Amino acid sequence: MDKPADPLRRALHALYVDHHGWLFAWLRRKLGCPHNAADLSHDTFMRLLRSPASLADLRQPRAYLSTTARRLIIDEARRKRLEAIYLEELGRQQDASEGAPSPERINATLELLESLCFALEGLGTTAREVFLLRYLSQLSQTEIAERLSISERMVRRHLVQSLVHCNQALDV
Amino acid sequence: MDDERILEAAADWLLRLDEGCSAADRQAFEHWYARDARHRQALEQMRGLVGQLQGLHAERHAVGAALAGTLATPRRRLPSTLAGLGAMALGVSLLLMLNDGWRQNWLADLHTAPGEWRRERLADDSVLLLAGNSAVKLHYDQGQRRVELLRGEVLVEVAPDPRRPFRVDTVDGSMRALGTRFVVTREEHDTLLSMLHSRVSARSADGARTLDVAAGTRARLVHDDVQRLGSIDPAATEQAWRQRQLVVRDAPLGEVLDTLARQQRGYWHHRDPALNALRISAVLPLDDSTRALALIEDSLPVTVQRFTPWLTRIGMREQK
Repeated sequence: MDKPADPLRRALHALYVDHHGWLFAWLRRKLGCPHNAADLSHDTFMRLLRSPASLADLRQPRAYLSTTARRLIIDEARRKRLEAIYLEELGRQQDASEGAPSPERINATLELLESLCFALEGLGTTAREVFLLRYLSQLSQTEIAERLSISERMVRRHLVQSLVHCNQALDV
Repeated sequence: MDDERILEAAADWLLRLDEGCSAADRQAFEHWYARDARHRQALEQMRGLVGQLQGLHAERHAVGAALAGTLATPRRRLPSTLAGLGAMALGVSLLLMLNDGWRQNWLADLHTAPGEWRRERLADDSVLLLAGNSAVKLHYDQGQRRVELLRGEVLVEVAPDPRRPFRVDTVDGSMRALGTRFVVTREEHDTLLSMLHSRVSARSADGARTLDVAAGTRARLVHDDVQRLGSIDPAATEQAWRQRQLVVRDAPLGEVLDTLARQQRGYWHHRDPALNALRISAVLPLDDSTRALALIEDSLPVTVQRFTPWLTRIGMREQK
């Protein structure tokens, strides 16, 4: 095995010094847990260490770091799972009615799903459910309150919380 | 935190606008919106997100199921990053929840990806040929040579060593090599042993049944039993194996599709029950699923629709 060239090590070091604090803070907000955030920022830099080629021309380090961290949060196994469930459900519906969405459309939806999955990660289960019932299923706040047996005020609070949470995740 | 306050205000406005607000509120909103670029950015970003979700309304069941199913699965964590007792307990429970493929790879000493075959010469000169999507763990020391097949299929060529027996284990039982060459396949509910040369002593996992299996025959191992299956042609089996071919004789199409699907990464959708009524005899390439499907499409009344590299749909051909 050849050793990583020195300039690359220096590049990694500089990257760490400049952006580790930011990455940690971002992950901490995202995951709501300092231990997980520390683990993940560590893993993110480890990942970079293993593919030093990608460090050679890094123009937008923060976008790059957050993408890498995101790949670690929604890792390969979960991405595959997401695809498998979605495609299976889609297939089931196609059996019932005709008209398959185009490959481009499926592709776009899967990409969107992945970013939604990332945005929702770390959000409480109830808040997530409220959020999806409101905007995906398009139920009214009153209907959601009835269905989940919680007050309308709680529904609203969960919605605010979800919107803030997702926005923090997507806003780099 | 200032940013968080802005986000909360933006979320609150988004909801209020939705809920139907008075003209005065509306004016207050316009004022808030105009006052700061960060206000506009936060609100527009939220609108974008909500719009994307609303756009998925027609597929809400598939989308909801996919998100719920995926978010319920914890992120994989590397054991080295865990510290302390609590973390260890967490690690164990995470490990138990992880899907089998990953756990098996993590435990495995050797593993292959779908469609990737691998030949490995072991320390004692025995040779393992690992089929695609397979994993083994090696237990080698002074007294034993043991290969644990966690997943998939392996062809074993045993180097003679009178002092150390050679064994292949699966959850269904163990196979002790008295001779040299055989194939072990782990299926979902059982393990198949195909003898190419010489003999193997096969024993069920509970130790209750033992059977000597000779060259040219097959046996099936389950937890509490070993049964002799029909005969095989060792030369043809070995050749097929080495050429990465799947040789089937009058097999249900559904099973054949499952076997082929394991050797590639995409998702194959074949739910039509009529497909399972079809039977097929063929020699199919295991490392070229596109060609394998084309061969099936040529010989049976089925159609293959490829939506993307990772979604292939196999259905019955429309009768004209």
